[in-house]
Amino acid sequence: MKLRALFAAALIGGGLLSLPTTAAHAGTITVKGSDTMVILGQRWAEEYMKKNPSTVLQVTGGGSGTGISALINGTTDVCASSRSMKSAEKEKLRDRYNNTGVEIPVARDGLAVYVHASSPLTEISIPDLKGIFTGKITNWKQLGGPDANIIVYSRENSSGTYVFFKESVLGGADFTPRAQTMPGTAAVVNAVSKEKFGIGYGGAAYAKGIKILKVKKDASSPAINPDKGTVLNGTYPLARPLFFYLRAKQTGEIKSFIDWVLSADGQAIVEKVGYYPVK
Amino acid sequence: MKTPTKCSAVALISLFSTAAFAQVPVPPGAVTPVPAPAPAPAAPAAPAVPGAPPAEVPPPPPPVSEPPPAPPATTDERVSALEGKVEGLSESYAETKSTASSLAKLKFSGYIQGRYAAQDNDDSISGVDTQGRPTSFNRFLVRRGRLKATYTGENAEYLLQIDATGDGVVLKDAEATFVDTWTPLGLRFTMGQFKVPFGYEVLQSSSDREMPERARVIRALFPGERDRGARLTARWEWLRFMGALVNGNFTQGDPVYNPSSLDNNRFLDTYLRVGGDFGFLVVNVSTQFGQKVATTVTNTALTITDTNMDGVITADEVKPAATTVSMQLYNLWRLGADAQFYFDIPGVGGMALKGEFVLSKDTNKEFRGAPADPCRDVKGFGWILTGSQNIGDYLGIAARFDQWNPNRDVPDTMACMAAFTKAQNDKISTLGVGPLLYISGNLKASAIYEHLWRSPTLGLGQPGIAPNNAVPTDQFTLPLQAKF
Repeated sequence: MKLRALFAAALIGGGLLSLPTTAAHAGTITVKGSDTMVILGQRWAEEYMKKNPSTVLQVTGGGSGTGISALINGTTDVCASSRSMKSAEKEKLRDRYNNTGVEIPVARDGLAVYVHASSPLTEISIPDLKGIFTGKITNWKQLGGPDANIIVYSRENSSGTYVFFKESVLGGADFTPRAQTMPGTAAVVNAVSKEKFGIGYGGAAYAKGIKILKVKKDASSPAINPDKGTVLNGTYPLARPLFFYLRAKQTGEIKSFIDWVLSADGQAIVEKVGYYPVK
Repeated sequence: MKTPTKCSAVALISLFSTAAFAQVPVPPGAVTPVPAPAPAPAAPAAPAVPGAPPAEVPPPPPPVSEPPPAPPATTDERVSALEGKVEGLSESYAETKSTASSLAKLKFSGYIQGRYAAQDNDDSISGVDTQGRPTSFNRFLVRRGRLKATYTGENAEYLLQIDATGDGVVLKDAEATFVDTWTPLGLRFTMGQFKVPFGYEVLQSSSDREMPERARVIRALFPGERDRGARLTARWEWLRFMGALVNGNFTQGDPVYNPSSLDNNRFLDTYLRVGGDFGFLVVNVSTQFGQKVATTVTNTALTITDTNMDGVITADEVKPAATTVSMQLYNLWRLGADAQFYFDIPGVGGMALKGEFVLSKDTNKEFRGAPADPCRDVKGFGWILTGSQNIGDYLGIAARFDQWNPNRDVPDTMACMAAFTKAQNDKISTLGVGPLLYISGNLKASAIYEHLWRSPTLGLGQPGIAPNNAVPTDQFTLPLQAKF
């Protein structure tokens, strides 16, 4: 009897403790993750909150990896990610929430390769990109350019763009230690726009004041420019989806927000920001 | 040249004396002497020239006026100066970033499990039994205090996990891993100490498990869950593979079941685990095979002394005077299968159903001239069924039923039963149920009530059945876990 009384007391205490933790999150939706998607998320939030004043949307970056960790830890409702969740991350989510989460493609992007506006190059192949970013190609002369060292700009490893580039271009190999790590895509664009011999990568929506190179799968493939047609039909080699991840099937306010993001209004904002709609 | 030397010497003496004076303690109420004003510096003497008229005193020098202000720097100069500063900062930043990026590869994690545990057969106030074991089970304890460090380098991973509790600090995991980045198989080859790749509960982290402890069958057959050896893991798409070659003695993880962490034989054990992960469904089959040497110490003579002269002989007054050590060799074989099914109920939360069974067989073999003895053969069987349902993000409820029969198919002869205290009906079943409360991403609490059913002829004291002879019928555990 004594043990059962203890158990009953623990049940009541636990129930009371759970009330404030549940109530604290009502009315606010947090979106955290990909820096590539921060501007897009903010535009969505602004428009959505205009139409739904009772809902508060908080959008922050930090990188896709950070967003996924936040989703697993329960500190964000929605994770914005520019890469797919890794199997280890799905397993962590499953261990905690008894499901592997819900993946929703909300936009498409062509990962662009940036060089300085004055660069004579117009196209580059994936093997050459791999050579540059792994440190095997160090001089523009090796690619028919001027005799100058290549200045490589990359992203932090918490970035989904970093992971996508590492997997899609480098085949999982490590970046050259000479690569300069930038905190965001805007910083990469800024650095390349000032460095005559620089090269970087990032979302096409950020490409201002730099040149975007056409990309070839290999030396014999045609060079493809990242535009709406090539990104949507998948011919651009570095086309990628941008995701929202949720812990469980959406309900309530989160469902309303996701439905609106996938609606014509929400997808129109995708194009305004510089990405491509999924619908 | 003498004058300056003398002046210096005087100045030094003066300095020391002033300093010494300053350190003399002043008695209370005494008036602090006011130092005399220093003499004015003498005017520089004119060079003495024999026969020359006295030199005129030169007029005092005009007061020194401040230099005219420098013309303001041009824009180019200011830009150049700023550029220099920015370059300096950039270099400093690059150096800091380089250091920070190396540190970012080193990750610390861990968790503490504090708990209150109670059992309903605790009818003693305090003390120990005749074998020195505590008879009270109601207590607070630090069940686990884990600290894990992981460093991921180029094609390499370092992992060290320790467990600090009231009983001391023990090594849990020490893994040196080669990480493949070239093939799509994600190969990982590890040497060190790690969890043996068998079944679901062995590999599941204690920080994620719904129940306070692993099921009885797992604790009996895989004490401490860890062993030392080499392990290979691979994954491709949905396929999963783990294989290991280990000492076969487990480690110090469970002081009751396996007090020695040393490998006492030259036989290695092999583990294989193969399965598939389909997201909502995970299925695996595991096997272990190897050999072990079991040592039995038998008292052949006893010394009985009434040491306290009270006329009563108690157990502690009976000492072994002579012992014989016998060793038996066993072939080990374990087969297990496990499946986990996950389902999301919209508006409620995720639900998980997890099932697992383990078959075990220890076959006595001829060893050092002693023939194989079928009476010593043991077949065991255990199974586990766990269900848990999340209710929103912060609440959950879990239940687990497990059963362990350490002596399935006991030989039906009285000789065997008398010789090795085997019982046919020695199953023990446990049902645990309770709520889970996820207070934050780092804090979890639960309250688990467990009820046990045991066979009336349960072989008391049999390894793998219970940590003590007194197997309780009901247990209550209230754990609080902080994780980072």
